[in-house]
Amino acid sequence: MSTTDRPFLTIIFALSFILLWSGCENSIDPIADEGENAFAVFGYLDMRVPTQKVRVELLRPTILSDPISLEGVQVSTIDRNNGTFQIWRDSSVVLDDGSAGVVYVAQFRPELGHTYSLLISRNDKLVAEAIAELPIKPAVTVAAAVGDSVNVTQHLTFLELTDQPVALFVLYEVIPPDDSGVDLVRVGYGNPRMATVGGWEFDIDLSTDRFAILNALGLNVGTKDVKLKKVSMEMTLFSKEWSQPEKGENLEHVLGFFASVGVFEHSWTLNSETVTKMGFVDAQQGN
Amino acid sequence: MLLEIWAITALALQSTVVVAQNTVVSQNAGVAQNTGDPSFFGRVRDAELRTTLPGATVMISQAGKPIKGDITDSNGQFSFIDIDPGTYVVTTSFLGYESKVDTLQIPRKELLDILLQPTRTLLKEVLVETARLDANRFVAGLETVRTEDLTRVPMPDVSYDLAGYLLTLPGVVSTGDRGGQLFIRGGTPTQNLVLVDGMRIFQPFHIVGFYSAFPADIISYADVYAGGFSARYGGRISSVIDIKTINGSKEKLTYSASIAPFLSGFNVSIPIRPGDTSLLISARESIIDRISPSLLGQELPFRFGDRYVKLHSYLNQTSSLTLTALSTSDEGNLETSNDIDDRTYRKSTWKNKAFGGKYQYIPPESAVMTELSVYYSSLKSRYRPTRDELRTADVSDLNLNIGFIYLLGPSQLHFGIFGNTNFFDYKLGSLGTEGESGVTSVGSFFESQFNIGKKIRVEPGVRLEIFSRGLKNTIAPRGRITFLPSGTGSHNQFSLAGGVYHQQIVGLNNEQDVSDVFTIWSASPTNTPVPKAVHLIGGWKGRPRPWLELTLEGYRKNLSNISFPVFGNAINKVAEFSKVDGFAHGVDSKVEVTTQNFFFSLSVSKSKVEYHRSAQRATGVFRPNFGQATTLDENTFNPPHDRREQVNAMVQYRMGASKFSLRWQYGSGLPFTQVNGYYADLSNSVDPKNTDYVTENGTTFVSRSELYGARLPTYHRLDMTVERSFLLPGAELTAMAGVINVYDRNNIFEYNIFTGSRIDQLPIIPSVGIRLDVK
Repeated sequence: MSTTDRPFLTIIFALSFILLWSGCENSIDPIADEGENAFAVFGYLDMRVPTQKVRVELLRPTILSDPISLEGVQVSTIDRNNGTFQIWRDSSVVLDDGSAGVVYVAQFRPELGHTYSLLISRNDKLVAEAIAELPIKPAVTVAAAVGDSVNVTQHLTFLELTDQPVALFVLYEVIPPDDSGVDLVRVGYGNPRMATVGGWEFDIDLSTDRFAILNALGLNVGTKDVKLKKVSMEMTLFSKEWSQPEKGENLEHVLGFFASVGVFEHSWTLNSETVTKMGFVDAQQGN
Repeated sequence: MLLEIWAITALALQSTVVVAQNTVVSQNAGVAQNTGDPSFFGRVRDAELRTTLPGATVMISQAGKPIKGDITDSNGQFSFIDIDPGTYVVTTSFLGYESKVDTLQIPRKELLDILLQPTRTLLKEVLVETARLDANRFVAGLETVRTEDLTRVPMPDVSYDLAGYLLTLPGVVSTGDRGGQLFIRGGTPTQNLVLVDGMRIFQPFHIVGFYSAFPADIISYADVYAGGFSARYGGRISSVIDIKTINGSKEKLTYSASIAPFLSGFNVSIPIRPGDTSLLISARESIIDRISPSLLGQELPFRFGDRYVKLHSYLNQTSSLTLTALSTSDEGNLETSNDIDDRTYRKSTWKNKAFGGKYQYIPPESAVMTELSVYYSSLKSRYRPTRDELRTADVSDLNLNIGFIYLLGPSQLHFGIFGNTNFFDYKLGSLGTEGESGVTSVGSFFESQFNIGKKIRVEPGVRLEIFSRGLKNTIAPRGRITFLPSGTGSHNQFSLAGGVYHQQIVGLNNEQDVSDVFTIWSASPTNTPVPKAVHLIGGWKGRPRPWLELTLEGYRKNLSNISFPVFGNAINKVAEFSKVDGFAHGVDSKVEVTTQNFFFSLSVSKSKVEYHRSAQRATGVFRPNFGQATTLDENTFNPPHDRREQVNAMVQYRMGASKFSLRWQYGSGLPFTQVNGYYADLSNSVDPKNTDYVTENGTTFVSRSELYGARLPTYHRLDMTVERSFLLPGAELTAMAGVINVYDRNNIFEYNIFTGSRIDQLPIIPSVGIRLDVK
């Protein structure tokens, strides 16, 4: 080896040193820290039923992992409008493939316009929260009915409607000619047809509804002595989460879907002339 | 090749072609000129016509070491000043003339009148099959790789390979030993243009990452542009690897063969028509999959090979024809599985095929060179996610080029026109997506080289491309400036390079997984801007001592309209794609020490790659029947090839016929996306009308954490080999022993986030090999 080469041996030793220095840390942590307490929840609060339920799952570390026990997990709700606090009861269910799942159940009926927090705690520590705002009852304006006896319609406008109307029924309370009692006939209108500035609007086809009512009562279309006792409508509203279920903006440290379904009613009085045009006898209170 | 050789001579940094070795001392007396400093002047003329020759290269050297060079001006004159007194060798060369070597004494007062003899065997002399010798040429972003460079990299067999060497270059990032993917200065593998004798190779590396798809034996040299490449290259936005192969011997039959566990092969060179036509045949085949269980105690389920044929012929004194063909095959299982069935059936395969020809014509006594080439290449990729499912992705490329090179004294113009057609065909199995498409383009490019004084060389260029479908036409200016503070022969050289680059066909793969090599090529979506990059590179190269070379380069690549996959929570779903912008910047440095017996190089890189995605809706490149596109929030992240620090060190020591080589690589951890976990998604079941949704199984979804917010462990590995050559009558036998991954580092290759299983890169691998070269 020439003398000029000798200094370069130090480079080799330096490399050896780097080797040792570079360390042996070689592990990988594929699970994010926030994943340790990550839950998935699916369900919604429903005004239509007295029992509320959500399915809750603790995230599994791999696709092949068995479901993780929810021992120590508590699910509860608090009504932010009045402070009502309720602990939900856990219930094991058998899933379609035979495996086990956990559903939390609570007995209450949520109220329109109220906001509920679904709280998930683990070992007495709050780890996740989902918020459901029940739809707000809109202001309703009912225009005077128009048209002749062949085509009587009435225009309804829902103002300040922030939630999505998904089903609308017009409810008629009628008394058949034999005075056998009050019958309730629900005429479905599906989705309101038009969005307007600040709300929604649609037309009730009173003339057509008459045929639906008579049909529901099993009467001929020529029957004349049917009494109309009350007119109202029922609208089912979905909270905004239903329109973009993947966004999950109301979920904090929890995955899945949590929303609400609200229902409200509004009644009004038809004038006698309109009732007559419909072919009914006016029996509304106040007329 | 013509352009390359001319460029070498034009730069006058070192002699390129020396044919006539007869030394003549010029006796032509001229007009004495004396500036007071030791200097001399001269002119170069045609020996027959006695006309002056602008643009000829004049190089002076002493004791075999180049000192200075010059290009004759429009009057055929050259000059050298500040030359130390002594004896010098003057080498003069010019295209179409026999080179001439003179010896003269400095100081000298007489004008040196050099007469060059026109050659009638122009091609043979000018296009002599030789490696590039412009060792001193420095161009920002360019690394010229020679065969002797390749021999310094320890490999697990007795042959060498370009891929192994590329990994020692600063700024080149590999995902590891498996998969054959190279990221160059922030660019992805599909943004690299790899040419072998002009043929585009879509997957240029074998499934074992330190082997390229062609043997080192056939490589004459490779220009690796990490960015800032010139206007003759197009269709990619990151880098160019332009490989030129040797021609077979036209004088005698030569062959070689090697045997080693990873790769065995042979190479034969046959003079078909002695002196004029040669045939070169090379073939390699791996055997590691068959012997790894017994040799290593574990399976390495990789099989790969390549075949290369080249016919080269001088048709006459002024024209030549080259026919080339290359085919490669790769097969292996890159995925993790504990299931023997999965290991057997979940395979990735790909096959490259490329062939074509090139005709070159150089009229004697003309300043115009013409080159016509036609090439076809294709890649067929197959991927089996399960035993019963096959996904396919094919791409083909037909390329026609006509190039003209004008020599105008010390300047040069290079004009080319080209046409290109690509076909794409993919079928994604159970994902239900398939498609066929194509895109055709025509265009032209223009490059020029000229000097401003003695110290500055400017190389502007522009590339224009027009497309057959709804892609916008592109115009791309390019340029390069080289500054030599002391003129030619400067110990310090500075260079700037930059340009605008477009990529009309894009390769899309699953970026969440570094090991994913299944790439679907497709035209960039119509009526949207194509991927684009703007490069700026500045560099310095210094040689403070004859044995010491230092290089420092800084670069910035601004990227826009890059297609990047979007992964929702659904697992088994074709990725949607978004458009991202971003940048790659960094600093690469290199120190090289070269003595007679010792070589050492150390390269250190620091870089950053960052993508920015604006709020947008994902596009469904492969999802024509999908539902609502995903809405994406604004996000900034580092893509999975963002390696921040990288170190490569190589040592080679020779003792007689023995050679000891050592390489150590270090790379900081690559980004990956952590998961929060998996859950059953009931989004499709939750329905106000379906109260039984709580008992449905739903679909398994994954919750991902911050996009590429975590880093894999660092990568480092030491390889070493010992070689000894034995001279036999008419042959040379080389024996090699080595160890790959000497300290058995468990470098991670893939972590399967779905199953929680991990696969590492190659373990410690002892290897031996022998090679026989018969000359």
